[in-house]
Amino acid sequence: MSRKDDLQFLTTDLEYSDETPQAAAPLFPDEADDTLVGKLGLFKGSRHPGVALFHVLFKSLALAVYLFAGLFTSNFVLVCVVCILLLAFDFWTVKNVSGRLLVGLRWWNYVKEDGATEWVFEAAEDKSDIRPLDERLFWWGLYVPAAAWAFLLVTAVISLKLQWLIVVGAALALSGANVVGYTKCSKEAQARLEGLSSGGAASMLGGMMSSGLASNMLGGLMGRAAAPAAAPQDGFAAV
Amino acid sequence: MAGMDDWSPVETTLDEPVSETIRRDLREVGAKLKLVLLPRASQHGVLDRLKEWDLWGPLAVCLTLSIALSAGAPESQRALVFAAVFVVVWAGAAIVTLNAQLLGGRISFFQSVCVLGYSIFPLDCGAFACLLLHALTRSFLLRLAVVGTCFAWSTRVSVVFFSEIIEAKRRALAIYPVFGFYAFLAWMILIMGN
Repeated sequence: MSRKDDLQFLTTDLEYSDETPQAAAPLFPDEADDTLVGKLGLFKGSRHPGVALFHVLFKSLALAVYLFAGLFTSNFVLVCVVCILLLAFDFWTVKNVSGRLLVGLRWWNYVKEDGATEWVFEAAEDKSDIRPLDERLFWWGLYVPAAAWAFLLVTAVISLKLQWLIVVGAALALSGANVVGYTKCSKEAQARLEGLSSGGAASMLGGMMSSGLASNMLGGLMGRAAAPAAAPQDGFAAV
Repeated sequence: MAGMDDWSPVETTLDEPVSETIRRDLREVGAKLKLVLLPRASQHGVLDRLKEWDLWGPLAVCLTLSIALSAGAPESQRALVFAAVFVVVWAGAAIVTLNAQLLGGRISFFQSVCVLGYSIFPLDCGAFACLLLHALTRSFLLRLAVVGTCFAWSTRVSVVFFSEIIEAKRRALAIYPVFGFYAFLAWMILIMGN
């Protein structure tokens, strides 16, 4: 403890005892005030209004273009390319940004030397930063569009609009990957939480090992100096 | 380990890391495309790089090829050509990969699709070259030369990749569909605009 802290403790004892940990200044300042989305007052109550917006923006645009572009143009190639690009942007956003900021979860797929694939899941240790609105928005935004595309798959097959199956197929593959990834990730995080509360130290360690959390902690112990060694990560992040 | 960086409390601003991630991903894709195109790069170096797979490059390459070929097709067939090329690229890559896996190759599905996808890039260049050639000359031989070169270029990386992971006895069985895959795409480019 530094000298300054000592001093504060002695002189401002009363203030300190009043202060609850929650009332302390947040580590991350709320984004709501300083971004355009926050200023417009969209997604009030979200911790990251900008991320929340992009979480739903690309999905909605892709669905809207698929459903309504036919009213304005008969150019199949253009509509197809726009839809696929929007879906790809959405996949990237959900996998790399909105998952970790809105619900504190992240998944990736990792290829071992022998060619076998391995799932790796991460979950934020401190859940206090996650707001219920963000959580609801994230999960609804994940499952509803996937269900909508599944429905559109049936309609496209029934109405024999087979060329549109390209867009529907791309949508199902991309949103399906995120649905599977985040569902598994969330289940793993819950199992780990239960293990922590009921089990002893052994199960706790086991849970961390299986999820790569241990390596995270190790990284934390070694400090930022360990970060440059993480160069191969680029490949995963790019997915 | 991967991801370690993302969970450190240093990441306070939202916009900065996101733009950083985008830039890093784009650089990665650009570097891989350059690797496939550069004839001097040793194949093994290329393969090691491509084994850190991503599907952004293949998606970009596939969309570019589909757009180029549909642009060269007659008005009434544009949608059909686009759809056909798009499906052939993804379904073809998947079939070639499954074939290699069934032949005992110890290989990740996505790594293989990544290698096959990136290797289409020379054919992309060939398709655009043919579109330009159409404006200048109707020489079939010239186009054949361009497409042939691009075909050889495309198969080069993939053939090395598959001969590395499949034992010598079954190698031909794994490489044969690779040739078929690129030959079909090269043929689509060759007949474009006829």
